[in-house]
Amino acid sequence: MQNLISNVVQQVGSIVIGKELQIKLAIACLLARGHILIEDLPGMGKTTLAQVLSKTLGLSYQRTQFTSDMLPSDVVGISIFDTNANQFTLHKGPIFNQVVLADEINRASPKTQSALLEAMESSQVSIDGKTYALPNPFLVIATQNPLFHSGTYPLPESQLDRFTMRISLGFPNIEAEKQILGNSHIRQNISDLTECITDEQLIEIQNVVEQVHVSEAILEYVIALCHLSRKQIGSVNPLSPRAGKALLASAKAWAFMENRDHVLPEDVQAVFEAVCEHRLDSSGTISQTNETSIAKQYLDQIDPTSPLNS
Amino acid sequence: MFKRSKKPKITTQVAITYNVWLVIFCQLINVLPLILELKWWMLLIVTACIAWQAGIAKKIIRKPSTIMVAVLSISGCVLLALNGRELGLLSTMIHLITLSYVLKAFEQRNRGDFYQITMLGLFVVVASVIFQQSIYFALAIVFIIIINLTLLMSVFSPTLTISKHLKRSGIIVVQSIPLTVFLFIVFPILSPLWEVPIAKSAKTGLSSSVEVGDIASLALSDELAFRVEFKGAVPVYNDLYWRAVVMENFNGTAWKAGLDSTEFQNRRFKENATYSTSGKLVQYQVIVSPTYRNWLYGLDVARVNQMETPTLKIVHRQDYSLYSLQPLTQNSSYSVTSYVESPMAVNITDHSERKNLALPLNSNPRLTEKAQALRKQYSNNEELINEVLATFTQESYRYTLNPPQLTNNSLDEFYFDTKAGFCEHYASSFTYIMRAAGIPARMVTGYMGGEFNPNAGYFSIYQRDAHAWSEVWLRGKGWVRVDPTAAINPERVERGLSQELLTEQATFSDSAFSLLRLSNIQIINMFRLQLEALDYEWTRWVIGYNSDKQHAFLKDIIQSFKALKHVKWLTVFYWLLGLTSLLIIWWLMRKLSHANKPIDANGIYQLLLIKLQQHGVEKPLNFTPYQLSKKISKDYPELSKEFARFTQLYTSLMYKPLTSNEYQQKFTLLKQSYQILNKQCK
Repeated sequence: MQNLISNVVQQVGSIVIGKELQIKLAIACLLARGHILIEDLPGMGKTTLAQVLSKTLGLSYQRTQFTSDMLPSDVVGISIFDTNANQFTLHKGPIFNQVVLADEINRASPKTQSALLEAMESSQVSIDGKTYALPNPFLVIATQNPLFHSGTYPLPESQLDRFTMRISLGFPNIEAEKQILGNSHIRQNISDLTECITDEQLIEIQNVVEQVHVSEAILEYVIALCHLSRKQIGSVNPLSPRAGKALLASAKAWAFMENRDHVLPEDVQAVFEAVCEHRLDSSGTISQTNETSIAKQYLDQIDPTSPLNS
Repeated sequence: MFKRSKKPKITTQVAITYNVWLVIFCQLINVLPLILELKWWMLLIVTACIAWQAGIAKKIIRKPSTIMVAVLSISGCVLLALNGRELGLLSTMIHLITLSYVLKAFEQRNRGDFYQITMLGLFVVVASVIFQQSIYFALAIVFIIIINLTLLMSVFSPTLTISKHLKRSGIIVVQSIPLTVFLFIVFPILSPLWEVPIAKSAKTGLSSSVEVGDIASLALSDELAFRVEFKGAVPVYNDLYWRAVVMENFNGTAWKAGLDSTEFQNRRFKENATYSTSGKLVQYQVIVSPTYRNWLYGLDVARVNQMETPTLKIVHRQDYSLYSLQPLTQNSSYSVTSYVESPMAVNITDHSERKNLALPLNSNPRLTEKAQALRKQYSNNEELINEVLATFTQESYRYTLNPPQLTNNSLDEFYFDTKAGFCEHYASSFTYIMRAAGIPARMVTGYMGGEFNPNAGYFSIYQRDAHAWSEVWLRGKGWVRVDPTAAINPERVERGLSQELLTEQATFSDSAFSLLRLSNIQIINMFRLQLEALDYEWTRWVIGYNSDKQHAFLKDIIQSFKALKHVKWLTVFYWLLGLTSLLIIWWLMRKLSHANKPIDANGIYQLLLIKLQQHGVEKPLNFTPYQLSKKISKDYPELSKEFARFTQLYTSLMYKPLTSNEYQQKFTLLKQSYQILNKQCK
């Protein structure tokens, strides 16, 4: 099973060049049944990543560009009266795909944002009083521009919390950029991609990930990290138990991808920033400077071998 | 950035949690044993402070401010300083420590404060042992200490129940017994730095003067006066007249000990009288309870074996009584040889004769008249004495603990009107008649008889055995004991106070429930005697264990080794002693370190981190075990291999799902790996 996943990583990496860590995180998030928020400047490959992921995983995919005039029905779908059949028929929205790319989510109005986020949380949508189950696996990849950009509605804390991870691709290094610029057939390449994994295999892997062993020491480490955020006063939001759960699930997925049946502190450390930074500092954006993130500071303050005493 | 080094600082700042009511209860019982020794105003302060704390706990009153506490403590100190002269050094110190104990309780901020309060509390409790030394009291004190320990422990693990802590501290105290016994036996006993103050009146017992009614008031006291253990033959019961105070001065109502002012000024009372003794002798050891007076007890004619009595300085007085130069402030023991057939003062001095004939003018005219009439009738002194004693038996005189009240001319009234009295009434009026008839006579007070305890083979003499009798001086015989009580109530001098007499008095007594009252029920009596025996051994071996006894004891042990010669046994003994102490210390250290020893893998890991730190390897706080292993393999290649193995084992133990078998296996390997690394670090 780990082979399947490493194939996926490899294939995505062949298109999204020089971003192994982000790819791994994104896949880990997928294995942990979570959703991803990609925050980055335009043109950094957010969409490409989402496209390649869905293609490689063999999942149905639709991209929706969020704009300020968008309505909830544009996301979930709408019932329209069919004069031929003499009844209302449902025109399913983009959300009924296995991978939903919500591009520039922070440009839509809060009402539309909520429609998407509700679907994310409960894996189902209600249209005209009828409940429709969303496909399985179901992954939302939302992208957003940095908050200082004009015409954005920042996501409130409660909705940020729904995203298991927030990652940023960042500028590629020179080597990678050379490759990107040299390769003029990216679009072509994407359509040539073959799927590495079936739906059933993915679901099975997700189940295996859930079974990864978490020892008490790891639980204590996670709790210690959460507690640290709760002791701080100021602009930092405390980490909720949901955040702890997301952290643990991501760490399990990471451990799985590292070929292990148990979680090590390294796994927690690997996913901690991606999982927690946007929850801790909801007002901020991913720092483009060298300033240390809050999550990194927290990791530095906790001793993984005796977490509750640090 | 190694945070472990900062830890101690943090813990001292942490506020502690404890049961407030347990603290208050502890204070209460810690001060309780001192209740008789503290002044009323001190008790008032103590009560107020404890009540205040209860108020704080109930959230009725606010906590006093620091200034308030300072004011309270300063004013308390001033009060103590003002009363210091009256209290004496020891008592002042005890008051001071009690004051600081109850005031310090308002200042509980952190662990340090709490320790101080507990230590003070233990001091306060133990201070009470200066005043009370019976085994029961000692047991009660041990119990109070257990409760204090319980409080201390409840602070360390507040989640456990009090009963569990109580059990644990009980176990600790029991465990400490061997060490206590060991230290008790071998630790040098130093003389105290303080003088125990002399109580001015308080104690029951014989005093240096007696009025009618004084001894009757003692007759109901079950308090122990002294204990006697005979070496060899025991005299018959009605020869057990324990002489204490000889009273030669009579002022009309009260008899006083023979210390007139000139004698006192000449300090003659401190002189050791010389008198010859001979004939049949009995030997015995006396252990006397503290009386805060100087009188000692002995059978006539007593000679103290000063050699066997190192703690007391005793003089033999001219009147054949024994007198300690220091007041008896604690249980003391002395050894006596009594020459029971030796006559006392065959030749009387003029001074003594004058003194023992002196009577105040017009004090008891009817008795004087009676005596003069008798003198005319009988020229022989002994016949006259017999006649007086016969009067007591033949006429309707009554022996009672509860005689009618007498007005000023007490003896007249007793002899002619009421005709009911206790031993001092008879002894007093008899002595008066003798003096009025021209026979030198004096009052003697002391104790009569005693209770034999077959369990331990000694006599206990209680305050209720207090007695008064007369001595008359007869030419050729010297001072002869005459006990008028024997004439009126022979049972008293044969078996002690009768049950009848006691039941008559029981209704007036406040100690009617005393075990003594029940001494006619055999089982209870046996039980009582067992308890008494226990207390006797306690007094003899524990309270009486002084530096001389210690010396003798250790010497005895060495002596027993001496049977084997040619070896310096003393050296061997001290070596053994030293080794034993070292062994005990080692054992305790092991015990202690065992308690701190890591019981889980993480504990071992943390221990190794400390060792590594000493070796110069610091673990960055956020490093995971593998990251540290990597760092070490880079920076300290000499440790690299073993540490990698150690890390492998540690992570498996900590993070992998293992069966308990696997766990045990790996844990053993981890411990071994730790040992290897520990060596390598050195």
